[in-house]
Amino acid sequence: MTLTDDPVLWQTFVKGLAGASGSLTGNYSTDDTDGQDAIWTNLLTDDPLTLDLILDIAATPDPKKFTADVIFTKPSFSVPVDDIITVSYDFTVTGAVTRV
Amino acid sequence: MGAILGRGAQVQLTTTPSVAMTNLALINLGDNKTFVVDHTSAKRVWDDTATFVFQTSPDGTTWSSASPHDVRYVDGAIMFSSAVSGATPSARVASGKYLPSDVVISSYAWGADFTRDAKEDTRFTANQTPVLWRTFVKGVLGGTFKLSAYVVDDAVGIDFITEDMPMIATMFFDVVSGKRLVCAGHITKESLAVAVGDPETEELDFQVTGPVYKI
Repeated sequence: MTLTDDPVLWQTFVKGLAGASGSLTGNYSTDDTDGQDAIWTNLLTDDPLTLDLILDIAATPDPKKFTADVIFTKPSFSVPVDDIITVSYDFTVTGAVTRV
Repeated sequence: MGAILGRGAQVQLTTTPSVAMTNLALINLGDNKTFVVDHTSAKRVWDDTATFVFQTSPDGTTWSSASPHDVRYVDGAIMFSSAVSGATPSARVASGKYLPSDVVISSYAWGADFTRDAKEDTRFTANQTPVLWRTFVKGVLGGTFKLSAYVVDDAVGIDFITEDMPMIATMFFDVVSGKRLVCAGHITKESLAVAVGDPETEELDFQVTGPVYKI
């Protein structure tokens, strides 16, 4: 409520909890053991997966990246007869995101 | 590796009734514990309401009854907790029933969406630092898939939507390598599109029931 004679016009906010989500998109692969197969295998477990989202693999001394534990929530496959087979994955971050 | 085109893809749906089979040889995946039906076999989808007798052999000649600890009916596979011994460890279906799988010859695209719930479990702090990041735990898995097909004189669509029992769907990424998704599903929606200047098409939506296997 206003403390003056002027009516309140603008809403105000304070910060609450932090969270994050994201998605990955790519071409389907039949032999991506450490990538797509690992995501599918993790989908069937109760554990989150640690995900590195690399901004610059060549940065020194370490690659620039975001790191977080994530829950993959929506793997999707698209298979058209006349185009490339693609996959996408939505994920929800559980816990903190760190930026290296 | 390079991108993969969908021109090697395929969709198969099961039909009823199931058909009896005997002495179906299975392929040893190499660990002598897991034995599967070849992905090109017409007897790949097994009827889980039928009675099955499995047998193992140390040499591929002398057979005795065996009880696998797990049977994957939707894609013909058995798993033993301990390795089958012998010079040529073998396994087969001595008797059982399979569900015929028909290729949906008029289909030209398929897609699948799976979901794993992420339920929030953020809690009060246990120390002197306020909570900042939300946390989640995994929930249940589910999925849907969609099949796009041309309307031809084929056993898709309206013939299937009246079926009460789930169908087993095998969705190949590539029929040569056999890479595929396999699951049971109910058709929940059929959409027909008929225009004077275009091929008639239909889209079938499936609700997955139970597990999905990525093979």
